Amino acid sequence: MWRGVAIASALVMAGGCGSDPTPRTISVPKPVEWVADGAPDIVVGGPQGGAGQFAVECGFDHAAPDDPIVHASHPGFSHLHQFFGAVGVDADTSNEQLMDSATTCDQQLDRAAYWSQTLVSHGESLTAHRMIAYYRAGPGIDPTAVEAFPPGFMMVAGDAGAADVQPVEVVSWSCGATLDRATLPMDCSASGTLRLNVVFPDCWDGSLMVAIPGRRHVAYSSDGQCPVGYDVSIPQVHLAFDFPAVDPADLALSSGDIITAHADFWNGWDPVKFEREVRHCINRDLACSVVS
Amino acid sequence: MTTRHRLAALAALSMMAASCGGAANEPAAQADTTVAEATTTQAPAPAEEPAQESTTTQAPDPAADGILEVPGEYSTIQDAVDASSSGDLILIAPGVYNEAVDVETDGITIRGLSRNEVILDGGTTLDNGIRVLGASNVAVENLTAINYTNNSVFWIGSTGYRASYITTQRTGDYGIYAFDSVDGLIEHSYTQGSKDAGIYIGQCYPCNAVVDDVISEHNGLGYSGTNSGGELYIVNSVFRNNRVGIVPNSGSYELCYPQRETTIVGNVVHDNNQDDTPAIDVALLAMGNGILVAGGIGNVIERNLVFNHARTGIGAVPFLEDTPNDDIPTREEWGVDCATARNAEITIPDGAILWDSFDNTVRDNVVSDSGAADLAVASVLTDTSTLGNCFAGNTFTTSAPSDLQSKAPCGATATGDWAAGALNVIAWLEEQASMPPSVDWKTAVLPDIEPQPDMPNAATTPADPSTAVMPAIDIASVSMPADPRNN
Repeated sequence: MWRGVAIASALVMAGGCGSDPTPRTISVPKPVEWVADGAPDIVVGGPQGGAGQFAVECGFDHAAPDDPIVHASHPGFSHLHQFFGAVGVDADTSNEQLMDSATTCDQQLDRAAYWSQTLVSHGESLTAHRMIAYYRAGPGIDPTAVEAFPPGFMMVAGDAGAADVQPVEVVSWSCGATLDRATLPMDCSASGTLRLNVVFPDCWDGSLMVAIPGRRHVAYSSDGQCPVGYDVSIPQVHLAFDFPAVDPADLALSSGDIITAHADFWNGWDPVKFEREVRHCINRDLACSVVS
Repeated sequence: MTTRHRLAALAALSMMAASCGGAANEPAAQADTTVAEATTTQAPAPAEEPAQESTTTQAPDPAADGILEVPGEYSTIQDAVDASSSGDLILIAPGVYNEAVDVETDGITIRGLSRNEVILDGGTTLDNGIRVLGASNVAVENLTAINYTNNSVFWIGSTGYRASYITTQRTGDYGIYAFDSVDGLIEHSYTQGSKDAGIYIGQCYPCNAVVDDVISEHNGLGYSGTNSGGELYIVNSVFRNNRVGIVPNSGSYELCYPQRETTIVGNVVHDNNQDDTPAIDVALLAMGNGILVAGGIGNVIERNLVFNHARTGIGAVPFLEDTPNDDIPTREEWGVDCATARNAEITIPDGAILWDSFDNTVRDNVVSDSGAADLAVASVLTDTSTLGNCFAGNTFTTSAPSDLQSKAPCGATATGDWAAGALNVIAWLEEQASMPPSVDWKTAVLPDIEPQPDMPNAATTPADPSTAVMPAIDIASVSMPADPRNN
C-alpha cells in the first residue's frame, strides 16, 4: 500500500504543465517508486561537534492516518503516522499553510513537517516523545557544495513495503544517540530510550519537488559523489525518533512489520533562515548545534 | 550540549541530603530584588543621522570611521555587522533589538553604550542573540541578551573570543557559550535562567580561556564544560542558586574527551540546590552540589568558598554514559590535543561506560554546610583510593569517605579505610526521578536582574581585536574570596 500514487498537487514542478496543447488521457497512473536508490556508505552519526551540522529538536504534534506526500488530499488513506514539526499538518495541507504554521520545534523558523509510522508494542500504538532532525553534508561530500533544497521540497526515506530488513545506513535502531545501531530494535531499558534513525538521500535532480511516476528525484551519494542525474548535493537529513524503551519482543509498526520503518520530510523552513543555516553551518563546516 | 546524559554520582550513606537541602538551606535571602529598570527600557526613536559635512556629492560611508552606530547609521545590529570589517566597532544605542545576529567577520567589537539599556530580546522565538561563526577575535561587550531559544551569546569554532560586561537571562540552552573555540575570555558578566548552563566552555584542549568575575545564578548548571580544559581558568566568580554550581564533565557524545585540567580558584559557590529552575536531565541528577567534577581529570580546585549544598560542597564522582560513541581514552592518551583527537578512530563500546575522576587536586578551600559531605570522592567499579585525587589544606567538617584529607594527601600515597563513610554512587541515579522537574525556561519565575555595572567609558574606548584572547593570569594572586554572609 505504500507504493502509492503521486497526487497532482505535488507535481506542479514536474514540467509539461500548461503549455502542452495535447490533451492528456488521465488513465491509471503509474506507481511512484518512493524509495531512493542506494544507501549512505556509512552509518551516519558518532560524536558530534567535529563535522558541520545544524539540528532541531521537535516535540510530538499529533498522530493521524494521513500522508501529505503519498496520499495528498486523501485524508485517512494512510496507515497511522506520527507528526512532528509543523503543527496540524494533514492530507490537505498546502505549501502555503505549511510555511505559515506553528511548529513544535525549538527552532521556531523550522515549519517543516516530519512524520513516520508509530511503534506498536504488544498491540498498543506508541508515539515518540520527541524527534531530532540533523542536517549535515552526506558522507564524504564536499560541505562547501551543499545547497539548500527549496521550500515545499518533499522526500521519503526507508521502505514501507520492505520485505526484509533495510540497510542499517538508512534505517536503524539504537539506544539513544549512540552510533551502535542495529536493523531491529533492542532492549534499551538501561538508557530508557529506543531511537529510530532514518537517513534521507543527499543528492537531488535539481528540479522535481517530489518523486513522480517513473522518476525518482533524490538518491544517495557514494564515495563522496552524487550519482549521474542527481548532481545537486543537498543537506543529508537524519531524523531520530525517540520512543520509550519497550520490550523488543512483539514489536511492529503502524505500517506493518517492524522492518517497514520509513519517514517523510516536507520542507516548510523559513527559506532565508534555512539557506543561512546551510551556508553558515554546513558550507562552513561548523557544528552550530549539537543535540543528543 | 549535555542533554539526556546522566551523571553517575554519589549519595551519602546517610542520605539526609534532601532534608538538609530543603527547608534548612533555602537560598539565603538575596539582596538583589530590585526591579530591573533596564528590562523595561523602551527603544528610543532612531537617532538622527549624524551630520556628515561632506563637500562631495558622494553619500558618506558610515563605516568609514570604523565606528558603525546602531540605529543611527544602521537600523539593525545585523546590518552593521554585515557592513563591518576587521577592527571596526559596532556601537549600539540604548533600545530593545529583536534580533538574532550572525557574525562571520573577524576582529570586530560589538558593544552596547549601556549594558542595562541595550537589550537584545529573542522574544522566546529567536535562536541565538549573537552567534559568532568561526570568526576570530570577535568581542561582545556591555549589553544584555535575553529570551533566546538557544543561547544569548555563542562562539562556535572561533580562535580568540571575548565576552565582557554581558548580561543574559532566560535561554533554552546557554547564556554565554563557547564551543570548539579557543583563546578566550568571559568576564564581568551575569547569567540567569538558562536551561542548560549559564556559562559553558566545551570541546577544547587546550582551551586557553579564562572565566573571570561572573555571576551565574538560577540556571540548571552554573558552569558546565564538557570535554574542555587545558589552560582553562574559572576565577573570582560567583555560582549560586543553580541546581548545580560548577560541573566539568566528560562524555563521548561530543569530541575531545575526557574533560581535563580546569583550574577553579577563588570563587564563591553556594546554595546550588535551586529546584525551581529550568534544567536538563543531568542537572536533576546532580542537584545539590557545589563544585562537582563528573568524570574529569587533573582539575585544580583551590581557595574557593563553598557552602550550603544538599549533597556535596566539592565532589569528584564518576559519570555514567549509557550509550557511548567511543571507549575511554587511556592514561597515555590524556595529553592528546583536541585537534588530533577529533580525527582519531572511534571504537564503540559494548554497553555503558563509566568516566572516573582522576588526579584532581582539592586544596585550601573553605567548605561548609553540606548535606552529604563537604568533600567527597567516589567511584563505582574502581577502588576509589587508586584514582589519584588529593585533598590538602581544606577547611571542612564532613567528608566521604570519612577523614578524606588524611586518607588522600597531595603528593603522597592514599592510605586508610576508604570504605568507611564511602558514598553510594548509585543512589543519585535512583533519586533523579524524584527531583523537582524542570520548569519551562520560557516561563520560569526568575528574580529581577539588578542593574549590572557598565563597562567603563563604553562610548570612547577604542575597539581592540587583540584583546579578544586569553589574558595573562596569575593564579597565585587570586585569593580566598570574602564571605558574602558577612556583608
